[in-house]
Parts: sequence; structure tokens; C-alpha cells
Amino acid sequence: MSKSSELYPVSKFAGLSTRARLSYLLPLLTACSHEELLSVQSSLNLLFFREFIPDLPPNLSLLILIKLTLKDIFACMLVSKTWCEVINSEYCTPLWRHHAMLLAPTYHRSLCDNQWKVICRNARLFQLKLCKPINYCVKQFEDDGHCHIENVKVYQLFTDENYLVVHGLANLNFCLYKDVVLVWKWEGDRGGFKYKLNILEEMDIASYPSSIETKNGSNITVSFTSNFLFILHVYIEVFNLDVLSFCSRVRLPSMSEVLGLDYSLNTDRSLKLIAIAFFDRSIYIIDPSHGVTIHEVIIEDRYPFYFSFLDGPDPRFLIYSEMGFRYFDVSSQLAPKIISDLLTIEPTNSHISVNISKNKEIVAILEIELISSIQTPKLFIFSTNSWSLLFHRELSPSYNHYNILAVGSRYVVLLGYRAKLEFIIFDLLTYEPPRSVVFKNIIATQDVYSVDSVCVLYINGWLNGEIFDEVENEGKSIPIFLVYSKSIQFSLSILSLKY
Amino acid sequence: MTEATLTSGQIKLESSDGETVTVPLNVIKLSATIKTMIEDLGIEEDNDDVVPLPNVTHVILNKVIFWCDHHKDDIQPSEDDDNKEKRVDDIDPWDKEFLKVDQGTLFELIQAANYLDIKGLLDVTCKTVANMIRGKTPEEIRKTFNIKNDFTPEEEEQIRKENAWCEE
Repeated sequence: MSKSSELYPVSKFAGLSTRARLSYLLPLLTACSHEELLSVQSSLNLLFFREFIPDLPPNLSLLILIKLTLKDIFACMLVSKTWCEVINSEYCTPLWRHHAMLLAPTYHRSLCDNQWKVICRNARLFQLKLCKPINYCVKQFEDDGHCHIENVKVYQLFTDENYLVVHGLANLNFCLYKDVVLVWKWEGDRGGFKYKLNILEEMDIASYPSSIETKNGSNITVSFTSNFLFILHVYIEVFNLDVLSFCSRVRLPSMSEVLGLDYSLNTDRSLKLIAIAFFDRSIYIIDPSHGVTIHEVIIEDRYPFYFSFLDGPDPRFLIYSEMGFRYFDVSSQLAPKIISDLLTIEPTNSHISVNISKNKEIVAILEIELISSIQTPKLFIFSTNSWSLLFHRELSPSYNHYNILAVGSRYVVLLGYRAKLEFIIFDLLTYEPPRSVVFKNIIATQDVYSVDSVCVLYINGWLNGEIFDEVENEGKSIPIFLVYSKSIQFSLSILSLKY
Repeated sequence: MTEATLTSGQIKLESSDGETVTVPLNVIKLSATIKTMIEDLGIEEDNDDVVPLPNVTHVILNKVIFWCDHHKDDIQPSEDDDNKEKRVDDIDPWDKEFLKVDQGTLFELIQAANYLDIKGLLDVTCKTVANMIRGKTPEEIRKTFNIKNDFTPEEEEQIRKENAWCEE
């Protein structure tokens, strides 16, 4: 028995009701001196702490852990031995299964429980290999986070958590050879606002179609998205396509005559459908398990077009260009059909730009109609769940240019340009009139072109409705990445939004 | 003991520390446990039968009732919602304010929500703890929960090495 329990009848005290306990405690506390009370107070503060993860029953700890990212779980493992034990215990198998399924959704689900952490690890390493540069840091930007890089040819942007990857200098033949990749890492979570310009000199895979010719005259082109690696092997107008994810590999052998090497690829998360678009403006949606084309679309206008699968049990497919927007149900079992033509635009007097939220639930379409040299801009917001028009609004013609900067499930942000750049914020919850916010520290590097421009607003949490604590973030800067295009020349600005 | 006159559609709950609380049925229906107990024990509303809750103190029970009262008209989450991707950034502002409590209270609320099988409360309390962890370094987490680092530098390095793939 400890000394304290000899002095105080702790076991007896524990058996009393709350009311009886308080009737003992309060007179004792009343009898304490000021010094003693201060001592009690400091002890009391410590007694209010709880460890939660090791103290709660494992099923409840799991409910907390499953809401964290892998990075947070890594931090939790380093807190203490007991935290680490809980996370690596059998009770946390569902935690690793949850992350493994997010990283590798096509993986076979009937695995032994003890394999999930390994699967999760391998899937993550595969993803990192696709997304992460290898060599680092040549130059550091100034703390104001503002810079210009001229003559950068931007092929594609990848935003994976804290990374924005823009790669490829004009006229460089990269892929399996020498390459240059520019990476900005946002270190805002460490209290600073710093960007590192990293130059990657060698890489083993490429990020967007990049080709090499082999000795026998065939051509291998490699590209990737955040989840898939595409390898196209072309030889005498016949191609084989390999699509690899961490846990799956699909090969489409000798599919058809090659229409050219200028192509784009995409696949749904489960790798059940692959879409390939060629320079002749044809898009093939292919069922790789049977190697058959289940749908073919010809884009009739001449404008750059984009396409994307929407996640969900029934594969759905979006195609959009400046001149139109189409939405398909493309089940491989059923004959594909066009569900609806959402927006019909007369090609002679208007064009559109489209932006989809990261969770692919909200689509914003900006239509600029030109009537007698006067722009009539309109914004349409659709929900892809119900495929309903949430709202549409005519925009003020007083801006010279509009651009859709970002779309979240709560906010849609437009970039407007008149004397200065302005951010025009639409709230999808309240449908209040849009707020216009001028950021004085932002200077456009050049005119903003809605065509081909790529913009990334790096505050996804806020876009989806997370409350942005302006007091907590006072003095901090939120990076906004803007990429403007003009012909084949691109320039990139990193802007800071200061609170 | 709180002795209130029963009005229509109310039942009495007895906390682990012997306090009796009278609560409207449409409020406490959010607890699947109490709903089942009422059915299993054959307790009828508006009589003197008391539902014993040996795992919840009256202080926590009152907080739980306060939460249920605010959320009594909410649409209850379906099984499908359970399977949706977990997000921690959608805590209702009222719940945020409600859960500005000391860690001991939050801890007991999680246990009470689990025992009483109140899905919404369990979810929001767990989200609150997850938010206390999210984005923090191990040292910041230790500071938040007053935890002593019991790793040797070698042990810590080993864990870092083995799990570095999580951090990248």
C-alpha cells in the first residue's frame, strides 16, 4: 500500500457517491492555505489530461485514428510506446485497411488482416514514386513567396497534399532521360511560408507523355496520374498499352491503328475503364478486361478538351472543352448512352471553361457570351450527385476577364481581372451574392487568359467548408498558385494571401 | 435527487452516482441503448420506472441530454453514411462550442456516447479528439495530452525509419 493511501482512505473514498465525496473534499479544501490551494490547483490541471488513444477501449481509439491522415498516424506512433503499440496492434487492422483501400482501391479485399499495413506501405511508396521528385533544392524563394518564372512550359499540375509539381522546360526531351522538374513545397504548417525550387535532374519515370525511341524503331511513351502509370508501346502503327497501379496491371495488346502520339489517358479509380484521347479528337472508352472499346466519341470543335471519370459505383464520364460539356453514363455492361447534354452553346458567340471540385461532386461552368463585342459572363454550378443545376448567375461585365480558380463543395472562387486581380467568392450553402476580395499584394504577371489557363487555390479545407480561423492564421500566408498560358509560353506566379 | 413531475412523453434515467434525471422521450430516443432498454425492460413512459445507467455520471448525463435536445430533430445518419469517407472538417459550430470542455469531460463523453449508442455524439467527439491531433508533431501531441516521451533516441529513430513512408 502506498504512503498516500495510508494517509487517506482512498479505497473507502472511491466507494462513495459524488455528493458524499464532495462533502468530504470541500471542507478540506476550505481549510487549505493559499499556498496549498495553489499546489492543489497545479495538480488538478494535470489530472484533467487524458491520453485518449491508449486509455480508451481499442474500438473507440480506432474511431479517432481512422479520421487522421497517414502523416498524423506517423506522428502518433512517435508520441510514446503505448501509442505506438495501440496503432500497431491487431485492433488497428481496420485503420491500415482503410488507408490501403484509399491508396489502392483495386486491391483484392480478401487479404489476411496482418498484411494490410504492408499493402498500405507498398501502395504509398508506389504513389510516392509516381509523384515525388528525387533530387532537391537548388534555390529558395524569398519569404514573400512571390516569384515569376518565364518560359516554363507547363504540361500538367499535380497537387498532392503539400506538393505542387510543374514540370518540363520547352523543347526538352525528358522522360527516361534528363529532365527538369520544378517543385514547390509549401511549408506553411511549420509556421513559415517558404517555397523551395527543386530541380530534378534525373528521373526514372515521366509525368506526362514523354517518349523515347527504342533501337528497333518502336516508341515508348510514359505518363502518369497520381494513381496510375501508363506505358504506351508503339510499333508500326500498333500499340500496346500497359496501365499500372500499385496492385494492378492491365495490358491492352495490339488494340488498333495508331492515330498519333499526341494523346491523353485517364482511368476510373477501379481501373475498370480507360479513356484514351487522340490528336484527331477521338476519345475511346475501353473496358480493359475484355480489351474492347465500349464507346467512341468524336469531339467536333477544335478547342482543347479535357475529360475525367467521376468516382462512384456507376462509371460516369465528363468531356468538356471551350465549346461544350458532355456527361456520360458509361457502364461496360450496358450500352453507353448520353444522359444529358447539359449546356448547349452556340460556338459562334460564346465559349465555356469548366472546373470540377476535387471530390468531383461540384462542377462549375463559366460561359462567356460575346454579343456585339460585349461580354456576357454567366456562371453555372452543377451537382454531379443529382446532376442538378444548383444555381446560375449572370456576372458583372465590368471585369475584363474571368477565370474559375477553384471549386469546392462549399465555395466556388472566380478570379476576376479589371484594374487588379480580384477573387469573387460564391457560397454554395447560402447562395448569398458573391463577395469580391481584392488582394493588394497580387500583381498579374501578364493578362489572364481563360483559355488553357490552369489555376490552383491551395486551401482545399476552406473550399469544402472548413472554418478558416482568421485569428489563428493572422500573419500567416496561404499560397495560391496561378499558371497563365499564352501560346506555348507559360508563366507561373506564387501569390500569398495574407491574413 | 432531482425529482421532477413527469409530463407526457417523459422517462426517468438514473446515473451511476444515483441522481435521477427526467428527460423527454423524443430527446433521448437518439440513444439506441436507452431505446432498447425501454423496450426490453417494458418501461412505459410517464410512470415511475427508472432506467438505470450504471456507466454514466449525472454530470455527463446532463451534457448528453443537452446535446440530444439540440439534435433531436436532426436527420439520423444512415448505414451508408457510416461507410462514407471520414472527414474531420465538418463539425457543426454549435457542437464545436459544446465540446469546448476539459479533456476529462471529453473522454467521458466519448465513453458515454459509445455506451448509450448515440452515433452523432460519438462521431463528433471522436472528430474533436482527431482535430486535437491533426497536423501536430509528436512533441506537440505530447504537450496537448501531457504525455511523457518514453522512447530512447534509438527506439524513436527505428520507428521513424520503419514508418517514414507514412510521413512523406
